[in-house]
Amino acid sequence: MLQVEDLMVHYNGAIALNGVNIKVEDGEFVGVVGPNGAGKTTLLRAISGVLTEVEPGKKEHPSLSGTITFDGKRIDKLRAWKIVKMGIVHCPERRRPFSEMSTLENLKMGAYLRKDKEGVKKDLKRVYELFPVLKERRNQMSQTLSGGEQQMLAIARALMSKPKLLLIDEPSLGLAPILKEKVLEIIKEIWRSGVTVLLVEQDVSITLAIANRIYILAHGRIATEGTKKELMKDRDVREIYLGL
Amino acid sequence: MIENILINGAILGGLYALLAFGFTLIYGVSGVVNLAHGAFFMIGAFIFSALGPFLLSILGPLGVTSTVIPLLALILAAIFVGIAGSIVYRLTIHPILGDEVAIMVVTISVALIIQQLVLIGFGFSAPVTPFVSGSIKIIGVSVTYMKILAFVLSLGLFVGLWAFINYSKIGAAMRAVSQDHEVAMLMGVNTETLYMLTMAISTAFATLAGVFFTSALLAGQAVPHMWLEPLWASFAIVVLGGLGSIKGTLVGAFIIAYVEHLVAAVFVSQGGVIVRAIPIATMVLILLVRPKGLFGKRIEME
Ligand SMILES: Nc1ncnc2c1ncn2[C@@H]1O[C@H](COP(=O)(O)OP(=O)(O)O)[C@@H](O)[C@H]1O
Ligand SMILES: [Mg+2]
Repeated sequence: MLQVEDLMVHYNGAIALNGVNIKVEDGEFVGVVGPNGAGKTTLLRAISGVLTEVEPGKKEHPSLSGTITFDGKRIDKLRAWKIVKMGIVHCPERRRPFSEMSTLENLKMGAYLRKDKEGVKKDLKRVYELFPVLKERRNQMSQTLSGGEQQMLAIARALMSKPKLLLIDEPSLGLAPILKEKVLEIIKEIWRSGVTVLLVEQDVSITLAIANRIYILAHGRIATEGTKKELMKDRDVREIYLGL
Repeated sequence: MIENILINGAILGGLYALLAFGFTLIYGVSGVVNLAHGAFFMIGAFIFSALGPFLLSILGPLGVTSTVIPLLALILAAIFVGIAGSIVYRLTIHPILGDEVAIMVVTISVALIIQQLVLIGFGFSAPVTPFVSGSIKIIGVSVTYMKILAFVLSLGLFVGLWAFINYSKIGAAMRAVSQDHEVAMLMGVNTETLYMLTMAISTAFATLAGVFFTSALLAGQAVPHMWLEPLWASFAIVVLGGLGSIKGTLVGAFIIAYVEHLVAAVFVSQGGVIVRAIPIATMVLILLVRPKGLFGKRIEME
């Protein structure tokens, strides 16, 4: 489904990704773990295309080389909105709701490109079933939501875009353990409903618990890759990268 | 005298609001401080002036009345300048979107180029006469129908654009982009076309303001150098109200308008000269007290 080959990203000369190769098959739940600064966010921004977009006040000019293909088509030179249209949806780090919009308006922004009004209505209902708290808070400004609610909103908003492949950046960041559990359970449920998931996390244990296959990213390179079982077997990997 | 200030200040305020809305909108959405805003105001008046006789020559024989023609010319001029504005945006501003200083240099250059083009194409002046005649007395003050029409249309357009931003899907995308460009892109917003559309609306509104100002308030003559004053006024209004705030733009427009009329009334003899310094002077004074403008927390487009 998704294939990233020899991906290199420089921010104004400083290298952030140095030859990354990853692959996500249709229906898989793939995790990428790595410490702060490893390049996880950069990887997702490269896939969703926002890395190379023009933006007001954006001073850095990241350069990207390598190839990214989705369903057999090159997407690394496409504009971000076209990538969304193809079904890759990126749920950003630190949730980033539109703070001066209500919960409902945020959810509607998720459905921005969709023309199937009926489908949008149905998905809104489904999202409210998945996150009843969002229904309660639908007319509340999103900046008044708690951190956990905002994370749910960010995931719900991404669902409204009808993803085939969902990219999620550190959904557990800053959440209390009990909320973490809940958010991850919901991500798993979304995956079970047929959405392929690429999850990026600093939290090793939850990623090991949830993903089919895990890449370990360190200093802009993939250090190793495997299922939980395979990774746990290797003592070096366990000690150096997983800290277990 | 009070009545005079009351009425004429309100009319000027309404027109200022229309003028400054486009300036704050393009800033709020794309972060561009468009120093060519006044130039689009000016060229709009010239194009309107040229379209009048042209439309009359083709539509007159068909029996279209002479009150319809100015309105038609107004709409066509706004559309034409709007399209031109979005093309200018795409070619000159979009490629340097990350660099605020370069944008200022480029947009001021665009203003000068437009001034020269107008000078070559249209000459030193063009008549922009009122398209309705007559006047009435409101609380003892004589007001031309043209002023009333300009005022009503300005406020109507202001409210219309405000509603568009708040209730339409494209308006939602504009607000989303103004709050978080990158996340708006992640929702599938094509920012490039959205910025172009915003620029089209912004410059079309500048054109409408240009026609209203020249026909209702100025001497009925458009001149190529009449872009600096509307630019200063927009700048002052928008900074005063808080860059990017629509509510602030409306309030700022009326504050500047009333201060201008008050000062003109006090310094009757030198009025004409002093008034030109009012927008900036008022802005500086208010910024000393409230450094972020009256409504400025950050960019907001409520
Ligand atoms: N916008 C940026 N400008 C310059 N350097 C950046 C930018 N974003 C990230 N980097 C650098 O790229 C590297 C990878 O960062 P990032 O992808 O955010 O890592 P992670 O998400 O794994 O914490 C870091 O060294 C970081 O400093
Ligand atoms: Mg990150």
